[in-house]
Amino acid sequence: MSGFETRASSGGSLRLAPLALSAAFVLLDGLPALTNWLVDLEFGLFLIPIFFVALHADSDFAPVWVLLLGLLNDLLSNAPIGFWGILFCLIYVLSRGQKQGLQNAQIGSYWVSFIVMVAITYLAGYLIAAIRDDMEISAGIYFLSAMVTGLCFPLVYWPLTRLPTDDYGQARERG
Amino acid sequence: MAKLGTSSNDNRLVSASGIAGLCIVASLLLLFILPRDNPQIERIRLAAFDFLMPVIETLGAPFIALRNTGQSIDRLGELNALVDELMAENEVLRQQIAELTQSKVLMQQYRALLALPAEPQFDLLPLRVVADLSSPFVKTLIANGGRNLEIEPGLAVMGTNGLIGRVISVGATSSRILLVTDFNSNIPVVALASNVQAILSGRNNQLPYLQYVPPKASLKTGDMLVTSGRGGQVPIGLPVGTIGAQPEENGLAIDLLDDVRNLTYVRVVKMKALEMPPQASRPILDSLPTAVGN
Repeated sequence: MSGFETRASSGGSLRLAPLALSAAFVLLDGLPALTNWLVDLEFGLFLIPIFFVALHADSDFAPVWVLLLGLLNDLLSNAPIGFWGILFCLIYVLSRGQKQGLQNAQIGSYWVSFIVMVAITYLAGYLIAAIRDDMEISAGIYFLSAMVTGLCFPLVYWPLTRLPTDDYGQARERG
Repeated sequence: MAKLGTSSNDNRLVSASGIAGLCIVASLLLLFILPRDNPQIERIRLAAFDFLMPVIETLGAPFIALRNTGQSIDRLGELNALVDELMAENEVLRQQIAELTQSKVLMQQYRALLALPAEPQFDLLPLRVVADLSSPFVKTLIANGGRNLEIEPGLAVMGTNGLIGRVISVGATSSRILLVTDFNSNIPVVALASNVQAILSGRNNQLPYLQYVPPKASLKTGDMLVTSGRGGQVPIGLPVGTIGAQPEENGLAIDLLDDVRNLTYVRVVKMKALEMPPQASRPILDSLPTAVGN
């Protein structure tokens, strides 16, 4: 197993911390942007912790939390209810599918994999918007947002891999 | 016995992926069954914002401070030029005030002559923008005032210089503002120079555009647009923007008077109810000649 993965692979505060981080990103998403050129971008930083949960801190109830986070984002971002719910669950399912393939992988593989997942997720969002007559997406800005989200991956993902793993491991042994 | 969502991998009915699949189906149902403007959902949205506003304001304070500092630093370099510009503008404004005062007197006299009904007056209520929900598919702001300040859905909202949107829903302490750049925003406007009526529509990018312009309308770049008051939702005469230089495929692009991507404060236009004319007393009515008999 690579050094990149070892500390995070067995759980730890992993269940709570990534979901809390994702919730924080959902809340931060509504803050006024620092510069004009950031305003129109739809950062998907909240997708990175979900990718992490799917690969390293999975549980049977994780998808439910992921759905609830998506619905919270729908509420706060004024999107139609279910839009982000679908996208959050979609990236979770897609990422779970990569779990076997990414065992013993280096961070570059995780990064590439995440970029692909984000591209598919944003494409799904674009298609949903295209078939709804109450949503209009500026395609260029939207896919630029996906690209920026992909580029920000290590900034969020790497700290998550440094999470302590003891508490969950002990709880699991006790249980 | 098989269970849903147990941590044991041996004997369960649905895996985590299966549960995620069910969640996707549930989301799809929500997405395509619930209408976007469902009032119950809007109430939940605003309740969520009322509840989370202290958190968002706390989280946002450093960002807003940082942005304001950045803007102040940007302006420092232009300070001298700005002072000169403001002094020149002040001179022009002084002259315009004199002209406006004269026009107002004339207007009152014309109104009296034509017996036109008085236009409702309005107050401007300043609010702070606490959340900017602009994204590629929605352009809304959240401001820190709601029913507590007697704000109602439908009220027009101005930035520093001109119209920027309308209140679409109101919570206890927050209200949601639909920007004129949003895909769902349509506001009747009129060009001052040519009196051409049209609809200002958003398309989820930076510039709104004019729809339903009469085919032979003579509109020029730089023509000022104000609200026409048609439909009664927005008061008449609020400045909106000018006709942009670049012709667009869908219509004329409009340069707004404010940068809607960079608003810290907005002003809600609260219409004052029209005062009813005083009721004439009975003896006066009795003394008036009637159409028949006198």
